[in-house]
Amino acid sequence: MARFTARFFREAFHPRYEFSELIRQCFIIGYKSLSLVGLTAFIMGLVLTMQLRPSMVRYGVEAEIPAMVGISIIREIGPIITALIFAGKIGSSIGAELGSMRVTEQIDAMEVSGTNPFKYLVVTRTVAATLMLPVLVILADAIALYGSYLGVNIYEILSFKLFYTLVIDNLGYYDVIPAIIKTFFFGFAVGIVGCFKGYYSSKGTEGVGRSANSAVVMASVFIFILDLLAVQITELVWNL
Amino acid sequence: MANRTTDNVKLGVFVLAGLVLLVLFFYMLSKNESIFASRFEIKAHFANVSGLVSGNNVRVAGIVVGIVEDVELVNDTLVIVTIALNDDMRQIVRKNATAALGTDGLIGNRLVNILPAAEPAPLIEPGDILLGQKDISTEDMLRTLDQTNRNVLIISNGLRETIDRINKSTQLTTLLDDESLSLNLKAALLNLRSATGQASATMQDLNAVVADVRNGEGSVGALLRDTSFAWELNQTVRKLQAVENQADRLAQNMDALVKEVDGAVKGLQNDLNYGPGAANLLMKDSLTAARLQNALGNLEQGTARFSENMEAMKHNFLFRRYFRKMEKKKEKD
Amino acid sequence: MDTREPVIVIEDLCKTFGNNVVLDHFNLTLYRGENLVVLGKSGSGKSVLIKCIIGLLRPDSGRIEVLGENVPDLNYHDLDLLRAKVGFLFQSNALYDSMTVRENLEFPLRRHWLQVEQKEVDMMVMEVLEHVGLAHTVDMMPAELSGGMRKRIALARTLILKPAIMLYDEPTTGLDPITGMEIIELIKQVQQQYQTSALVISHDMVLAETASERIAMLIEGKCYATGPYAELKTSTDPKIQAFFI
Repeated sequence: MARFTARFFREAFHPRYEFSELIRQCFIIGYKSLSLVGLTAFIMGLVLTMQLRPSMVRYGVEAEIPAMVGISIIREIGPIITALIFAGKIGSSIGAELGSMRVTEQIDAMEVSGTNPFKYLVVTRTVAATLMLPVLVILADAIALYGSYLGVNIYEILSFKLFYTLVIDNLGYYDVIPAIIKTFFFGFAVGIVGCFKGYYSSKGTEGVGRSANSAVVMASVFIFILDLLAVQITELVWNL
Repeated sequence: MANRTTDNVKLGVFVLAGLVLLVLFFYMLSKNESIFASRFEIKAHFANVSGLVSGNNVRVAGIVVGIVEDVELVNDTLVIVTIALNDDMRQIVRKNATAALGTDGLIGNRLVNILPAAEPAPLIEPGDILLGQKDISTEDMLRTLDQTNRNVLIISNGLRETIDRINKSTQLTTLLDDESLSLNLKAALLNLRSATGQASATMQDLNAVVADVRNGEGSVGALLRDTSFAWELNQTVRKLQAVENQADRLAQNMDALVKEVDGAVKGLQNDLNYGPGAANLLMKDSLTAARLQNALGNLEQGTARFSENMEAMKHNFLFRRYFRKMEKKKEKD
Repeated sequence: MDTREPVIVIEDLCKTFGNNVVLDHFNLTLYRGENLVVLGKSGSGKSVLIKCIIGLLRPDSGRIEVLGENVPDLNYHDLDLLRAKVGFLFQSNALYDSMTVRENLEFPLRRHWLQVEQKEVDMMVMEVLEHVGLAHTVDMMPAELSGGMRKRIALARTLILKPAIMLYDEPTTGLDPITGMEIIELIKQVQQQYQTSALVISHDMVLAETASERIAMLIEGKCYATGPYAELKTSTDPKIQAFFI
């Protein structure tokens, strides 16, 4: 895995670059995931608000709901849930696609046709995942906040302007920048794990299924580990 | 191929939407955090900052206008807090403003409130030092509470004693019966009167001497023609006169007091022996006595509960060490 | 022994996977314009051999000279150039599932000669498609095609670069006998039309009989015997006879 990642960096920074394939992968990986991510983000924001409400009311701080939901969505839930869904959708599809390409010798065929399959398949997909997940997370954050706004409005009438003032007032660069930066790493993890599992898939159709499955599992675990590291590093860096 | 182009357009819109949102977000945050706004630094001196850290908000009139840049412990009674204020505050905050520590909400972050003073003063400049107001910390509150508790204990003990004494009403009766009291008072008054009279005589003598001196009669007069001495002497005389006047007034007051006490004592005796009255009621009414007894019981109970609380506190792990130390100290003493 | 110019010369080729010795000092020569069938049982290392030739696998030792160049010594760029002259038909066709037939065919063209114009590419695509008789499938996805059609498309994809040498990895495996025959005919036709040399790996005796000028027997990692079909059929060696039963 480490060698695979090292090879990724070696190959990614050397010509030739597969730009048109990269754009195509960005479309497939990014744009095509938007509806799923958007739906889950919306529900997440709505449900989070509704679940938080009873305990906030008990302490008489229901006015703090937008601030709390805002912070938790931007800092943690938006990135991590989106990344996990991304891992489920993209990690498995990359794993299965590359796995089946390996099994049906398409990867070999590519190599024979004068294409570096590592560049053409692995680099493009990993880069696309790395670049697209942050975009998805930003959109998901916005959608989740909108969901949360509706969640608040189920019980009380709150102007959108006040809601957004409450959310923004309690956020700082400290909350947003690390949260965005870590999503690049999440995306990279999903891409590289999916590619790794697919690229070295064992022969047979069973191998394809296994690589898709283990790509999701491994990517999810990596996301959590990276998240933990991100918290520690953020604390360290921001306090310098 | 046409399909490919629409896909690319969709992708472009998708990425652009994300970027626009991000930029918008940062723009809104920048209003909030004003990292880009130019700032100037001032300092505030505190004895104790109770958990203030760099990055905490600074408010003027409840509006966030800056952040705490640095908190530096200089010595055991001085903490210098560096505050970065937005530039527009140079037109608003004045030199004699004070800095007070506060909390955002009941349990929120610490923050610094810059409070204006009533007196006019020039506008603040970079590098100015604001005085910090002392903050009431929880620790202080607990210490005061402890002192208060002790006082309550002493008061309740005293009260109990007093009431005990009232209960043994013979003492009170003796006090009230005692005629020697008023006699003594009268004697004291008489003494005071005679003293005043003597003071008055002395004054007159002195006045005569001064007049003599002024006229230059006698060797002393010649010696003391000096005006400065005369002035001083005059001054002394005037003071003496004032003393006399005061003494006179005191004596009059005392006289009135004695009369009143006399009247009161007589009235009381009268009441006690013959008629209804407050004191009689107090002393003889069994209901009031019962109520008094009841109140006393409550007080005792309260005291017992309180000492129970104190006992519990002694066993509380937070305070255990403190009380153990106290006990040791007591043993030593 | 043969006056023709050799295009592939394999000398002392060894390849092991762990403790499993697959190729053990294997020697073989392919001459220009020749159709050579390598026969071997499943798992005897036929696929390994062909992948070593195209440079997908690295041999442990030995020489593989293809068109005068030793494959294991080539750098990536030179290997690419060589591969453009060698067509490889995969056992599982290896058509890219995510692309249409046209894109599949264009792929090697674009990869090897980036400067080719679109018009020319279209022409070449239609030409090879007509050659394999599947011009109507140009905008279909590989998944919509039958096994035989896919095999032909795969063949067309290798032919589009007009290779000097064709390597076939079990071209008739997984096809019904009639379709298999069609493919065999196609292979023969290709050889005549494009003047290629062909190395076919198979265990299909029908193919060996009809499409080969010479047969090489791969037994226990060695080139056990070579010769025309008829000659080997009359051999008395039991190991050779085992193939003809």
